[in-house]
Amino acid sequence: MNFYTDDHPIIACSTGSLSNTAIALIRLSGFDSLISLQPFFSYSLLKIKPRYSHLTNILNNNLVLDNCLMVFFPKGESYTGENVLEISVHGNLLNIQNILELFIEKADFRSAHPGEFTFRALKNKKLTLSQVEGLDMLLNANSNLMLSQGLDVLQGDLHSQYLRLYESYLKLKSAVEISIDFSEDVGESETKNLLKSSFDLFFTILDSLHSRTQGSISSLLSPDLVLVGQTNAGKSSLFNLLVKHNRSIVSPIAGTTRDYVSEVIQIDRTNYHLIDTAGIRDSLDPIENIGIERAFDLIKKAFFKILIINPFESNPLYLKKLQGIHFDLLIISHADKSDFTNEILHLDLSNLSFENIIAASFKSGSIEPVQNLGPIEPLQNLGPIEPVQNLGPIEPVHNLGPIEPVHNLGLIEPVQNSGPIEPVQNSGPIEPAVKKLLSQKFKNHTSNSPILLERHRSVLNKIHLKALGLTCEISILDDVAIISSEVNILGYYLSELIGVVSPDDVLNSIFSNFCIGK
Amino acid sequence: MKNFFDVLIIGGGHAGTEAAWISSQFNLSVAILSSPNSSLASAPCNPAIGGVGKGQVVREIDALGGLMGILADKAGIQFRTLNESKGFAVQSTRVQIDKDLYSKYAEEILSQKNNIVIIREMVSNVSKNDDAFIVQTSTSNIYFAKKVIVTTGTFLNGKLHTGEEQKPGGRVDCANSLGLNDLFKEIKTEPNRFKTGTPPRLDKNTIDYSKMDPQLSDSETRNFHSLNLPFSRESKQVSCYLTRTNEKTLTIIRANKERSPIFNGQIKGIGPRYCPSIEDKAFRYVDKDIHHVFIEPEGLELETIYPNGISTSLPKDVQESFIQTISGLENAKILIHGYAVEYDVIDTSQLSRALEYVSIPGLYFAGQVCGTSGYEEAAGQGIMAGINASLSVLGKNELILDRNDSYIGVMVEDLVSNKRDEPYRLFTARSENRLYVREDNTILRINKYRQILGLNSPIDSYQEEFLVEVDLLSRLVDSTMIYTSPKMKEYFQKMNYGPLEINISFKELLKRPENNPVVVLGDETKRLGINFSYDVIRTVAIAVKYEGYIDRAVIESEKINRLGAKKLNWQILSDSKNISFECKLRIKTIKPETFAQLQRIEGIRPATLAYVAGNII
Repeated sequence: MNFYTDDHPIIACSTGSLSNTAIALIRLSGFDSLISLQPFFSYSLLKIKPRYSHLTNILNNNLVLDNCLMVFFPKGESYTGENVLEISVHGNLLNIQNILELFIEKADFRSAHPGEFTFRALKNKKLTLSQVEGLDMLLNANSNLMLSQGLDVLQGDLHSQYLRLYESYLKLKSAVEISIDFSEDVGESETKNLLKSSFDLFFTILDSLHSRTQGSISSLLSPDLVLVGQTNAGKSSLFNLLVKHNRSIVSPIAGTTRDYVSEVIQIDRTNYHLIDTAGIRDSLDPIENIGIERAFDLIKKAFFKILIINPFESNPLYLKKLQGIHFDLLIISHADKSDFTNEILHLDLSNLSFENIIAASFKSGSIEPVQNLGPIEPLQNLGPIEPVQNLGPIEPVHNLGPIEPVHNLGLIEPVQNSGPIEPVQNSGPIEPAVKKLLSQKFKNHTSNSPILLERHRSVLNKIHLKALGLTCEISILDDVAIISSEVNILGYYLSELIGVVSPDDVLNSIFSNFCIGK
Repeated sequence: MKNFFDVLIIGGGHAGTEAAWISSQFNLSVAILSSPNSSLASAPCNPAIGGVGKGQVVREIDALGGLMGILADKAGIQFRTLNESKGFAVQSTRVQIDKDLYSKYAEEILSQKNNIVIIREMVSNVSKNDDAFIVQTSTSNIYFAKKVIVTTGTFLNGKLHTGEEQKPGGRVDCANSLGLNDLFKEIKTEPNRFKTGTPPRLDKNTIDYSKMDPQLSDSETRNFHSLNLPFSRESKQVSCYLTRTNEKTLTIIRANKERSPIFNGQIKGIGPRYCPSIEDKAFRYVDKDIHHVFIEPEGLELETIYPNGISTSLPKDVQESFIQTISGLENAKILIHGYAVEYDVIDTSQLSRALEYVSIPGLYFAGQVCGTSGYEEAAGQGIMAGINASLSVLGKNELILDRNDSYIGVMVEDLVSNKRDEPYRLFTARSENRLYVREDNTILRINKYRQILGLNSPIDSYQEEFLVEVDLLSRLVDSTMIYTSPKMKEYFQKMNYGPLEINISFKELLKRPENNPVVVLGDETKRLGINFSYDVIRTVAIAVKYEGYIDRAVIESEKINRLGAKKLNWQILSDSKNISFECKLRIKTIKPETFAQLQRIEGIRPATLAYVAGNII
């Protein structure tokens, strides 16, 4: 472990600090004596009572910098295990900066690295590795799911399920030992049965944990919602509609390319990364083709995929390119036009694969429900057109009640980098319909409460693979010595899961995720 | 009479005779002080040598130059290979012995050595001056010795229980000796009290064998001693028989709980969980009424039968009534009633890995007095104590067996690194390296230790030759390829070797799960006209079979070992809020200093391990 080698006193502002706020919390950890900090405080530090709040001025050469509350946590009883002082200062960015600099320049503190407080907590045995993993998830949660699992892990709930698995493993191991060392006392057939039944029990528990590692979590941890379609199909309209009413307070995730427009939106307490792919056009330009490939990758990986088709301007070549992508929702736009029904009869959807379909109208900036989609030619994957799974017959928009403008979200301003997105003035029930489908899918994918920690997932998969291999050996029961050796290896993997073995690189990856001040 | 010895051994049981025998090989003067009425190397409990894990120990003793294998082969009246169908690595040899012959041969062999003196007196005090130990006996004789090895078994402060009856004694036929602290004034620690028990002995003429399943001697089971022909038998072979307890048996026992010294508080000592008395079984497994009872003859000429599986200290009348409920024992007559014995054991954490008492250099302990159970465990410690006492007399370094390549090493390390709260028995499960520590490769594992002794006996040249042959055949196996050809394919089919689609190495053929590697290697060496002994073929073939598994296990266990070496502070642990009361109690008594020691404490919960591991990274 070589993240932070020194135990120098550290300081950081532990609350979010991108804009001015009423209060900010500054944390100081690792100083030798509280009294040495007396020059910076008006309150007599001799009188300070641990874990109590005290009102004090912060002084710089007897000049008052700020008036604040401070709490002292003595060594051994603090988050980090070191002497910790927490000061709640006024949350003006400049003020925070001044106070941090004061302690760095005059009291020999250094800026804490991201996660360094938690690292010290781990080092000083205030947290276990597993708790740190939980904390990491809690702090970086993109959804309530992650929040609650983070807390579970932090409080040890998931851990206790692993221990249950471990207990069943110990029973299995002792069954193996009994069959080797005591089969004469216990009886041959009894030991065989015991071995098989204890393996079955172990495998059942393992299987239920393993099933929670199935499916991709990358799409759950930061789910993408992509809009696919030709220019003028109505992507921008839908994009703006979703952004306008659901914009997350979280700023766009860094590192996205400019090939597409993106925004983070929040639906049902989950943050989605909404992406409008402009990449797929019917161009043969090789440079464009690179963009196209990237767009394809993005679409394939996305959690929820919406394809929008304008039946009046649909290019069969374009649709052909989308072969092989399974869309969660197909929206056929311009449903308000008089010859819409006629047009969609000519639309060839036979190569497309999708879960749901609705017809919608994007007219003069507003979206309206379509009363009747009319007959469409059978689709390859869906048969006749009624099959829309979640929506029943194609009128579903009715269910959603009268079309009303959605509340304005107040302070949220138009997205800066949204470029070509046209302003939306009005919205219709198409948006709740999309949200409902999206939430439904997210719920379906998380109903088995998937285990989100990558390390746990990979160890569980490793255990499951090994156990699968053992299934065969156990059923033949040819060489118990080999079974016992394999069962021992299984035990090593299990120890990794419950944290008995913790490869150093696990720590590395955990601490690279932390935010400053934690 | 001579009264100064290089090595003096107190006790003539399996540990004592083994210690005397090996010490005599170094041309040192050796004395055995044994209690007046007991024979050497007697088998007061079950009449068998070997067993799962224990068979490996007997072969290790044999490869070190010990006595046990020689005696067991000579006195063996029924041979078996245990776990025969469960893979080579867990197969073990067990020999039923004629206990009279066994003692007789021990006495014969030891008394042939000119440098061993057998003295039959009770020891009354052991003390030490600057250069020698002074051993006083109850007949007021005084002996001096450079090194003393204590192998007193169950005799120290021994107390016998049969129901309400209790009397002092080391065994049913022997007086006990003084307590640990009375005998050794210089030993300050309080002894632990352990308990063990034995079943009633039955008159062999009052048993109806027709109601029982006979278990014949296996002529394919190999002798223990490496210089004996593998399948030769010196004694007449007999059968054992299997019968079972039933509901009636257990009902009688359960109804007499209050009269059982184990359950009414009369016995304070802790018995072995792994060798429970029938009372233990009755109350621990309340749903189970059927338990195996093996009917084992104690000797060819002896009248007694040892009914294995029903050791008991219940009152005599209860023993008589429950015995008669067992099929085939309806008319069985009890010749000696079952009893339990309580005795002092030393704190083995005071011993070095050479089995020397750390604060009293030159004083060694071995056998049941160290809290182990079993003849093989005793003999294994006896030979190690004998070797180390002798090496020490000769001014040489001590010899420590590694736990990774021997069961003796496992046992000694377990004993000295841990305080125990129950008798210690070896199982294969105690070894982390079970696939490697096998019976078939004993010489490969032990020869390097035997060489250190610097002795020159017939077994040394045998071992040397064996290793050369094993090396030769291993290299041949390593370098041989099998190329596909129509002829070869046909041959594979004929031999049922499985398909031959591409060229394969000879090793691959041996490793195929459908093949018995020993048979295949035997057939193939014969086909190629190469002549190796069956033992060599067997050792090489089994090694090939397991090599991949062993390598993988080593890699995975290394990760654990790294963690195991981490130091921990048991005092902090025993105050921790996060550890269960029961675990804390064990931590307090055993005082583990590393994570590995904590892991080896019996009864430590995984939650505790996880918590501790999480906190020492």
